[in-house]
Amino acid sequence: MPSTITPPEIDRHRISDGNNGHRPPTDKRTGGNGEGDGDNWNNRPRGHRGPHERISQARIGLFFALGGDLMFFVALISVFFVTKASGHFDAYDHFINQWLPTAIPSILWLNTIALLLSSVTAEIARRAMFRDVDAMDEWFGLGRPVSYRAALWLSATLALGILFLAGQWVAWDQLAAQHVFFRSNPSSHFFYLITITHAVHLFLGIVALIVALAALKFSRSLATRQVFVDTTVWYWHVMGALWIFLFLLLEFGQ
Amino acid sequence: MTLLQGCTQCLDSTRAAPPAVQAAYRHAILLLASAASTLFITGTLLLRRQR
Amino acid sequence: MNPLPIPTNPGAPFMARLLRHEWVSAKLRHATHHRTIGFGYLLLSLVAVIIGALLSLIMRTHLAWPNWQLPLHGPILPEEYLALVTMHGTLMLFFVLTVAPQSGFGNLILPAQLGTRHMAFPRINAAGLYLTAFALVTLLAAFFVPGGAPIGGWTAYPPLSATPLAGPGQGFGMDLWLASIALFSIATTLNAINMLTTITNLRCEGLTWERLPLTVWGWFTAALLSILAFSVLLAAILLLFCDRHLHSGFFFPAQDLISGTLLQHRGDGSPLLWLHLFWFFGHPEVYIAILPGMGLTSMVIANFSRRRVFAYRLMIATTLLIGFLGILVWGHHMFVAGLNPFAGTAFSISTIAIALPAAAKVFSWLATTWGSRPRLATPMLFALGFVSLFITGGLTGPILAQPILDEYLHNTFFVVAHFHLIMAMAGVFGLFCATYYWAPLLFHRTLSEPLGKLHFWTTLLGAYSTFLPMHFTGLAAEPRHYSQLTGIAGPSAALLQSTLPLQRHITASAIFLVCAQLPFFLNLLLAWRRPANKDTNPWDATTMEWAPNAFNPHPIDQPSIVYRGPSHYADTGTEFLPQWSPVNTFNTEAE
Repeated sequence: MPSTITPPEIDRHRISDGNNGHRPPTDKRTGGNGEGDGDNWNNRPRGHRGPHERISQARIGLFFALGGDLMFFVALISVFFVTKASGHFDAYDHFINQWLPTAIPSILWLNTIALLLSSVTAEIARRAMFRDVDAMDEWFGLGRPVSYRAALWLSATLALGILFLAGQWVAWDQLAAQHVFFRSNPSSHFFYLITITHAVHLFLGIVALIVALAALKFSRSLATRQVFVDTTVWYWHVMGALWIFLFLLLEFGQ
Repeated sequence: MTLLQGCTQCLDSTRAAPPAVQAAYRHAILLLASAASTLFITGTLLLRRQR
Repeated sequence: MNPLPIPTNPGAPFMARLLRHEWVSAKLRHATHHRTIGFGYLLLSLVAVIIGALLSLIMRTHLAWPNWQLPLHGPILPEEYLALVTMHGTLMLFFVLTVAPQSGFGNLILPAQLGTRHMAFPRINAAGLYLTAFALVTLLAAFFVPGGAPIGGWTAYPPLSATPLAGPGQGFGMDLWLASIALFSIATTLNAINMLTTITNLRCEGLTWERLPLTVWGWFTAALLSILAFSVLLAAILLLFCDRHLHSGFFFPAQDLISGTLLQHRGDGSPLLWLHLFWFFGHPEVYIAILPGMGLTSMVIANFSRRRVFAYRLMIATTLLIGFLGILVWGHHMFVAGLNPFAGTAFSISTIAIALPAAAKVFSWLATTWGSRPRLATPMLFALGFVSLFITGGLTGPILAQPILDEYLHNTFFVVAHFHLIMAMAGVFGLFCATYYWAPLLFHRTLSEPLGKLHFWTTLLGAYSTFLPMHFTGLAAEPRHYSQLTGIAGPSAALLQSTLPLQRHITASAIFLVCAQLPFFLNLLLAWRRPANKDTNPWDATTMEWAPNAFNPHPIDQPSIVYRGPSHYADTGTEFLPQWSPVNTFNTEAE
């Protein structure tokens, strides 16, 4: 895995050169060599140990958040299976099961491909943030090669993500044209429930992408930019994987 | 009529779930329980691994 | 070196400049500080507990004297009684027993116990507080909308919660209830994410697994349960919302009759589905409420007995095991709801298995203090009260865990007695223990001992006097959720009539129990007026929150370091080694 090599918040005292790090930092405590007080990050209190700690903290927070999210979808899927099997006996003792599988619009295949591609571009952006030599250059203030490349690939992710949401919209539209609505059938309840809750999550991901792009533009600390990009991309990956699973469930599990 | 409500009827129809439905419930119980316990154990191990 | 003047930065966006403004950033720092947030949570649960207790008094008075007229209101109608039941349960379960121990004291004490000065995500933490406050306002608003508060109980069982046909509060009131609990779920999840990340990532140097105080273990397990359970509750609420407004039928049985209206063509759902989802949340919720109290009880008993916690590692294991088993037992709430008997047996076994770690905890508490000549200060008394109530309430657990016994007892007051003793009263005793124990850190003052002892003994008496007799009325078949026990025809009338003296006794005790809280508030008020005392560690405690400067900003080059596990007291009981002390003044085995 790529390493995080960015130094800590060198502008701890909120001294800024006003130009987003183009001048070399005035405070040269880069940490790690154990000379003098406060030099070695490992001698600092927890929470003040530089970018590696920040990024692992953000990832752990994201892990727990996604764990909860996963349970949300597990609950929906449990209800999916139970509802699919449920039925009642009519007056003639026939078992009536109302479940009629919803025909999945084939545009979902295209959407899935778009989402897969967006994960690839997101991963390229994420890795770009941690390219050792370039990240070092950027930290020294030799331009912002890392952030520019990441912003480029994140924008591609954003476009693909919006494309996916637009594609989902088309799918809902197509179903509506065939008079399949949320209320039509137990299976259509689930089609809409699952696609809409996932779309809401993906919308949050798009908001996160926009925030990460803003951070790439405006944040003065490379570590902050890395945290934003890294967290957003991991979230995006998980939403992509979740979609694959939900899509397979809708396509073949009904 | 209005005094009776549908409570007994509701309970009866719940109890009279056909075997296929009961099997679906069992699977759902296993799914929920196993997903939650996996996450619980993973979370605990994460705490362990961090130090 | 002189600090450089901060240059103006025309490129920075307005928001960034605003956030960097001194006044704004100071306000933000204050608003996102965990201490502010912790007090905010405690304030919310104080409001909730006062309202919830008043509601319960109205219920009790109505049960004992059905013709009693509520001043400014008139007689209590059956649907109003059910609304009181619902709101009492919702306020107490969510806004008191979840908020106060976990979010309130967790925020106030947890960072200091970890030797850190801040939480992992302060802004997410603050968002949790404001969402919780908003959820509380939304819930209370249900009293004032047309139809009034929901009447479906805090468990909101469908189909009665899924249609406005079911009663006056099941329209807009129920919608507000759903909105409130959905917000609350999100808020609690945010808080849990923050706490879990803090515990995982921000423990100070030397604070290994075995050295974490049991309170931290309690908070950790409860937070882990929170993210698992509240997500499922949120999904269930979403489905119920669809049933109410989008014509789905997840929770409607085929052709159910509600208030004389036959509901047809609403799908082949089942209320059992809601019960599964709800209790998947509901049972872990019980442990979320009680686990922090269990951890605190262990630490306080060790502190005041001046002993090590008996079998410390086993206590960590039992905390985790109670949490783990807690997510596998939810079906025991559904034995009489039409659950498949096979599933019932499985849930019964996993439920009875919880008795093992719970009993291990009780034995550890007793063994820790056994023959130790403990100092019986108020926090210790409340911790012992917790143990007492936990045993009394816990012993009826294995009884109710058996489907065949639960069949008879489930809809009686026996269950009410069980969960009020083990969850409500033990939980509240944990909260009082926390308040008295940590008062020097929270208010910079110790609370008065004579008033505290008066508070403890009257509360203990009131708690037992209120909830023990409920076992007997329950065994005599007094049903739950019935607004009136008189005026029923047939032999059941005679049966219920015989419980009436006991009913009146319970009501009187409940009023006594509420009045017994006056010394507590008087105590807080008097402490407010007293000057702050300087003694930072009056109990000779050993955990990190009592370290000097535990609440002051961290010098960047002086991290907190933990040198040993908690509660190291010499065998003589006179000396003790706090976790932060680098010197070893008496011989302890190396850890």
